[in-house]
Amino acid sequence: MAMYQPPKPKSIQRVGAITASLTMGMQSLVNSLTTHGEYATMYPEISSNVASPTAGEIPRPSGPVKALIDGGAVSFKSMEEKFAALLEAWEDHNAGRSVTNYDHPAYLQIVGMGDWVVPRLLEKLEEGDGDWIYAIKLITGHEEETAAMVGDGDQVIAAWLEWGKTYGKIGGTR
Amino acid sequence: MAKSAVRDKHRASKRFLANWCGGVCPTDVDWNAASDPTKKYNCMGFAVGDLRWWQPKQSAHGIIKNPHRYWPDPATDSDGEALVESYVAAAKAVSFVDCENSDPEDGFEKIVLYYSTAGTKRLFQHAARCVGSERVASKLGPDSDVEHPKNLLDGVIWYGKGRVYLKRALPDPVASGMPTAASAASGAAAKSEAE
Repeated sequence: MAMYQPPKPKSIQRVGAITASLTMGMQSLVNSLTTHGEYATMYPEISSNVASPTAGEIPRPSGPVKALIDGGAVSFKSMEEKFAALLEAWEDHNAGRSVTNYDHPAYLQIVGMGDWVVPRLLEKLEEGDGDWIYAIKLITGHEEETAAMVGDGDQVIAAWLEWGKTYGKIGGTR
Repeated sequence: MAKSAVRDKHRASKRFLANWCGGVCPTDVDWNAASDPTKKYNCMGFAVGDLRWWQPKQSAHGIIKNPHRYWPDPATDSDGEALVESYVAAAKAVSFVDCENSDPEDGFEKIVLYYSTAGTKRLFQHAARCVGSERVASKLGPDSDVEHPKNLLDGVIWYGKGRVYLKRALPDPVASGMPTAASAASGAAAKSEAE
């Protein structure tokens, strides 16, 4: 089966075309941009065309770790602290609610933390909390439950935990 | 371990009631009788006696957000919108019927569904079991289930002001072999005659 290749943004295509005819000096500049810029994170297969000493590493923000909580920007010492604060904000929002709201900014910001947060979300699943399945789906692009499983929380969670083991996101190092 | 270091398992429930039901008295809720917090079931599952998290499917562009949630009947699944009509239909699927109020009726259990309104839509927000006419037993979202005065949650804005009452016949005690007031009286009369 052919692997899905995401369409490359026109700006990236343009960069690719330009780099082919650039001088050595300009090539060096483009290498720097594509290796360390946001495109390197978004399109690792593109950045791998140039020497990339950081390929495979989890990208970390260079400035303070921040999140928007209760209408204001809050700084944290670490990603762990940010995750814990967003988790608490979302749980506070859903306290007493029997209709869970997945569109809350705290939930969306946890999704925005990307691959780094997946092992932490799988830990929540191990505790029986299936509310993080949607976040894991959005981050990874996977969908593990079958139509027959929908509605059976134990089966759905078990399927996702199995996925976590297969992909080394449970039981391994973070 | 010092007592103060033990985390109160009802912390989230208490915080919710303090934040949203400002008039809670310590005696309003019997915390010793409250369950442990759990996300295994919600207020609806608790009210109808089927301990699962009852919630219609929520999806966005074909991606199901809550595949782990239970809904009894696809025909009443109001995808993305928790309409109280769906919850009434779900309750009727497990033998509840309409009724007028929470007043006790012999041979029946009663539940109350809370809803808010958005335009012409009636949005389900909460469900509780009636305990007598003045108290209810509630599962507070993902937190504890507690018994409390029935008007305690009136201050929770998003629970809304709408109420729907439903009742269901209790299991026939004769068929189930349980002693009844009538059987106890006839037994006493038979014993008296024998003497």
